[in-house]
Amino acid sequence: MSNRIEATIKRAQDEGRVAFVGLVPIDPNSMKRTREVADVMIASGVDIIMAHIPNWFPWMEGDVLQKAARAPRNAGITREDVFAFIKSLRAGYPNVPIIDMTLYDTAMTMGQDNFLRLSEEADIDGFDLPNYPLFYTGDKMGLFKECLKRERHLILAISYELATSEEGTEEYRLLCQMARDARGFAFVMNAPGGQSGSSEKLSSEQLTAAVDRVKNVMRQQGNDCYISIVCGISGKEDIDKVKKSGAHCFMIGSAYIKYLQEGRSLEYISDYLKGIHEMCKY
Amino acid sequence: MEIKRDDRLWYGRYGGCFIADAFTLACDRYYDQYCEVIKSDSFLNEYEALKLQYADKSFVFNTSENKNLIICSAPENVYSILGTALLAKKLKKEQALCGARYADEALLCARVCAELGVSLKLFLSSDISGISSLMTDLQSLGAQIEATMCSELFNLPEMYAFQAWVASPDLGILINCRNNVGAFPQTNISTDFSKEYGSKLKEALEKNGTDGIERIVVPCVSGSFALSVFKAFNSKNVELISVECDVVTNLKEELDSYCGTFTKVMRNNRYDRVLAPELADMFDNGDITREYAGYEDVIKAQNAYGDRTALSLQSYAALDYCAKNGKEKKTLCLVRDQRWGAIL
Repeated sequence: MSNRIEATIKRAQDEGRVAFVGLVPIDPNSMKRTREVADVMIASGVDIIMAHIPNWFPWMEGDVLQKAARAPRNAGITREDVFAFIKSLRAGYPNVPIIDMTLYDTAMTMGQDNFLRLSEEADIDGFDLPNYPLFYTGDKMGLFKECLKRERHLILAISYELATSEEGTEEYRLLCQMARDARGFAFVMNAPGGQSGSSEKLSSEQLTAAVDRVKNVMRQQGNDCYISIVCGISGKEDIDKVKKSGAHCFMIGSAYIKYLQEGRSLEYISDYLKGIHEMCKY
Repeated sequence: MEIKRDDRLWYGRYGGCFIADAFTLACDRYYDQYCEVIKSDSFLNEYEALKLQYADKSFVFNTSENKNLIICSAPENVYSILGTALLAKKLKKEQALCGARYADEALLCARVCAELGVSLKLFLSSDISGISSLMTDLQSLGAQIEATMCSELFNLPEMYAFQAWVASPDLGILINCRNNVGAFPQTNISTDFSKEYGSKLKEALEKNGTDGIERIVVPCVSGSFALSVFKAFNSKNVELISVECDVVTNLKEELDSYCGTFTKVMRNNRYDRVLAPELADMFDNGDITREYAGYEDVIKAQNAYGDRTALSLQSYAALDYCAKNGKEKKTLCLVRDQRWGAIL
């Protein structure tokens, strides 16, 4: 199945570059401002938008995204407000892939059916819910099944430890399952613990080894899925590492969200993102 | 597609292991190690010694003017801290990680870890990190202190301890002060250790010559303390009542996952009070009558119990509940001291 995610990554590959996935934060003061940030991101070369649906307990996030979760909550912004924004973004950009980025906790809080309904109404392309224990529970909550049924991708995240696990181990078995069921793209984590904005990163050799391995296992599983690098990506050195690794895209969030939190202008953010976009070329 | 389906993960629909698949294997390894080590004489002997040294079993019973009401001044339940700290030593973990909301639990954790030779990183809530004498004591016990995140971001020290654990799940261990945080098996292990508290209370009641209890009223914050009591008395003959009271009004109940465990949370847009998942299940099953007391009402009622040393807000709420309800039933009301620390 091809949706906007695959089509966009393929187009980037055809243009001789890696695709750029960017996270749009929710502004605590105004959804209008949130939309302006998203507009600037798209105009500055972000290919795939991840919409940040703040978690009430953001334990998988670093301090920047924790602040990005805390501020809207304190301001009384509801999940429904966030979905209304995503819906308006879809109306403005019918061809841009949009992914819900949150923890599965959000779906629990809202009710999974409600969460999926609102996502479908906003015509999102995928879900990044990194703590959904798909294989551990055997899809007990049925989220993966629902995603397949609704033709939306559940984005899976593969840690370095899994990516480089020895054959015959439980880790390797899990890697094979992930490689088989990945849809849209699979994240390969560039940091231990999968924490956003991490200062602890893999070396270029480690990342390349991880991406090579995941690609090989995907091929063995008959799944030709794209790979995106996540965690601790912020500048040229990181993007060079991504390109060298053979990954097809990367995600940035904390790096420029920090600038927004510091009160930098949208022009400043735009310049930063355009600079990153330039670095995407092979 | 499944690696392991195991009903031990759940308390009814609560509990579980809501962390990325990549980290669940470390949870399984921890569970296997736990099951193995707790059977060893070496663990059991050292655990007994720790309990003798640190677990206060001095339940003090007083009969009130209403002869049907027995008030029990109860010590804190420290079994989970002792048990998980000892696991850190026996499993040779590089570092123990603990989020503390109260000064006494932070100190106990640091003392126990120092005695066991376990390296400890303590994440402190903003409510206690400003107590300079506490900080000095903790540092002198060798604890590594992290206090900035709770002051600047979320005042959820356990969440930061859990986050640090996730970064190196095979190297670290989470010391749980309560049973409401962490993925399987962390909540399950702390619940297992904590349940001994209820047995000790039962023994103390018997020694006191008290029998025929028809109703037990227990103050409840996270419900870890209440859970350990209720598990020991969960029979058809005894009515179990938890009494909650919050200094913050307008909290609403939501279902959510706290660091990997699915449970109930009382919250508004600033505060969260997370319930122990097994207690949430007992609530749903109708095993426990759940009572709320209004903050203003409890403050007014405190005057009626002015001769008592400072108790927790929820303890005054429990006493007030007993004064107003079912005086004819033989009731055990547990009360706990006020602690230096979190308001929620």
